Amino acid sequence: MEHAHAADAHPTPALYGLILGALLIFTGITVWVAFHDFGVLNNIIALGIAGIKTVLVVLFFMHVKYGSRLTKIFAVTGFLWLSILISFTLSDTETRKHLRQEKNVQWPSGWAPLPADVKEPGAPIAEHGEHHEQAAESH
Amino acid sequence: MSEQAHISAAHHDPFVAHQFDDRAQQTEAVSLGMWAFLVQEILFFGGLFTGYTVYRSYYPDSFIAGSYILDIKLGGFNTAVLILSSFTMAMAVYSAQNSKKGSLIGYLIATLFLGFVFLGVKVIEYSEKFHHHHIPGFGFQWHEPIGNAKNVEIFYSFYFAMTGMHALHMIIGAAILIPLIILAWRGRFHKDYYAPIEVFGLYWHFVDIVWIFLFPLLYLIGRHAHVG
Repeated sequence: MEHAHAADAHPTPALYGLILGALLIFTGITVWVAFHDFGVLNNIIALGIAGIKTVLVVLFFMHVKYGSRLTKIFAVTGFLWLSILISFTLSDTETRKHLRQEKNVQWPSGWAPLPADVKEPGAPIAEHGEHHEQAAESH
Repeated sequence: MSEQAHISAAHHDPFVAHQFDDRAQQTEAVSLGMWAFLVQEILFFGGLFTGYTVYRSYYPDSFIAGSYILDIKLGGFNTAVLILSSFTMAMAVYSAQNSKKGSLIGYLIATLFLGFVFLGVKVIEYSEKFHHHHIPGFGFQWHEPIGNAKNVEIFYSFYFAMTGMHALHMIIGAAILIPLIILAWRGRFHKDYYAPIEVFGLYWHFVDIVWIFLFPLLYLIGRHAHVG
C-alpha cells in the first residue's frame, strides 16, 4: 500500500533545525539582494528564493515528502491552479496594457483610461488625471 | 458504540474511527482533507497575488515608491518571527507524535507567543501608516518625491488587503491554538492521537508560506530605489 510506509519515516528535530537555519539564511539573502540593483533579475531572484523556501516548508514542515502520492498531487495541484490563474490573467492584461496608456484612444463610456504611472519625480497627479479626461473628451 | 465494538471485536483500534480500515488510512484522509482546504486557500490568496501582479505591472514606479517607505526592519523581524514559529509548530507535532506532553505544551505556547509578537509588530506598522495618512480610501496623502499618489494608493490597497487577510489568518490560528493548548494540557494528544495538532500545523505553515511571498513583494521591491 502506498500509505503504509508513510508512518515509518518522520523528520527528526535535527532536520527541522536545519530547515529553520536554511529558511533564515534564504531570508537574509533575499534582503541582501533587494538592496542591490540587478535589473529584472531582482524579481526573479526574490520569487525564486520565496519558491525555494516554500518547497522546504511544504516538503519537511508540512510532511509532504513523507506523505502519500495522493497528498503530493493535492499539494502540486494548488500551485498549478495558481499558476493558471496568474498566467491566464496576465495573458489578457499584459497584451492590452499599451491600450490603457495610449492617449488618443476612443474609449467606450465607463472605460476611461487609468492615468499612466509617473516616471518623473514630483509630477502632480491631479493635472495628470485631467489631461486624460480632456483627451477623452476631445474625441 | 457497543455495536461497533462488537463488529470489530478482534482487532479494534480505539483511535481509528469505524469508517477507516486502519490508522494509516485515517491519517492520510485527515491530512488529505486539510490539503483540499489549503488548495482552496492558495487560490483565495492567489486572487490577491494576481491583482497585485496586474497593477504592479501597470504602475511599477508607484509600487516601488510605496514599498520604499515600508519599514524593512519590522518586516524582516516579522519574517524571522514567523519562520521561527513554523519551526516551533513543527516541533510541537514532533512532540505529539512522540507522546512528549511537556514539550508539546511548551512548543504550542511558543508558537502562540510568536504569533502574538508578529501581530503586535503589525499593529505598530498599521498605526504608523495611520499617522502618515497612508490608509487608502481615508484621506490618503502622499508627499514623497517619487510615485503617483493615486497609484501609490493602489499599492497600499493591496498592502492592507494582503497583510490584513494574512493577519486575520494569524488571529484565527491563535484562536484555535488556545483550545489546543488546553487539550494538550489535559493530555488528549499522544502518539496514537495527534490529528488536530498535525492538521493545525499544516494551517500554520501555510500562513507562513503566504508571508514568505508577501515579504519580498511588499517590503523589498523598492529597496534599491534612489530617492532624492
